[in-house]
Amino acid sequence: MKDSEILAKISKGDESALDYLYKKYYRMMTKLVISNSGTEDEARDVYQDALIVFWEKARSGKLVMTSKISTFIYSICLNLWRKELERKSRLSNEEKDDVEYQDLESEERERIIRECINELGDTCRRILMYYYFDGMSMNDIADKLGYANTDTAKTKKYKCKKRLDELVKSKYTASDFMD
Amino acid sequence: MSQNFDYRQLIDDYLSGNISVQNKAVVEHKIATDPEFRSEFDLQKNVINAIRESRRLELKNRLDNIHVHWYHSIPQSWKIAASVSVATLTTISAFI
Repeated sequence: MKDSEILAKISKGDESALDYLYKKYYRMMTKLVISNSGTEDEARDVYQDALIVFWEKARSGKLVMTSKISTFIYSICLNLWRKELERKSRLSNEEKDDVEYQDLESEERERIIRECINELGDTCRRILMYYYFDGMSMNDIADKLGYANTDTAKTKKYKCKKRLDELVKSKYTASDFMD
Repeated sequence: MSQNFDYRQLIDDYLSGNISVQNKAVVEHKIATDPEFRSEFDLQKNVINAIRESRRLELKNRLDNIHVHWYHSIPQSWKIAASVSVATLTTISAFI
């Protein structure tokens, strides 16, 4: 598959393009991490994250490809692995600050919200993920989920979001969460 | 009630990046001056981040389930070299 075909698939929200890229560059990208003192698991992890970053960027429509897809993914891998190495060396120096503590609090909140997301039905989950992560238009969401028109998708998205907000708020009393 | 709804919509538009410059300023002013609005904003930020993270985890899980055989992603030239050496070995062993 040519780069242009891959990008066209991604712009339609076709995840099979991601599967294709994953297999195609697996060796090249994991080797990058492994030959820079990473384990095989770390390499796979970094490569998967890099591909998802690529997907997100390509989906945003703001991506201007000035190089081959492989070069682009390679540089994302490199950046992510560099960051991971920095994080590891910071951990070994036992630096701690308030920012990290706040991040942990936010992380915990988001973990609980993710449980609420899992309580939603599959359709609601898809709509919200396609809208907020993939940045799909209501038109594309209607297409992908087989709705008759854009308005149906819009109404559904509104209801699903409302349902999620209710679930999240029911997990917390006002004093726990709102101040 | 309707005003309440408008603000929710504004927060949603702000966090999903679909907001006009003018409305962006409205949201930022409210964040700075209205504590109740601010906590709703923070909550919504967590909700939307959580949705994004769920999708990220889903995609990661998808990739994790793809079994990549080492042979799939080695360069074509290596495959040719490998088959040539296999052929050579077979020829050699035929002579032994």
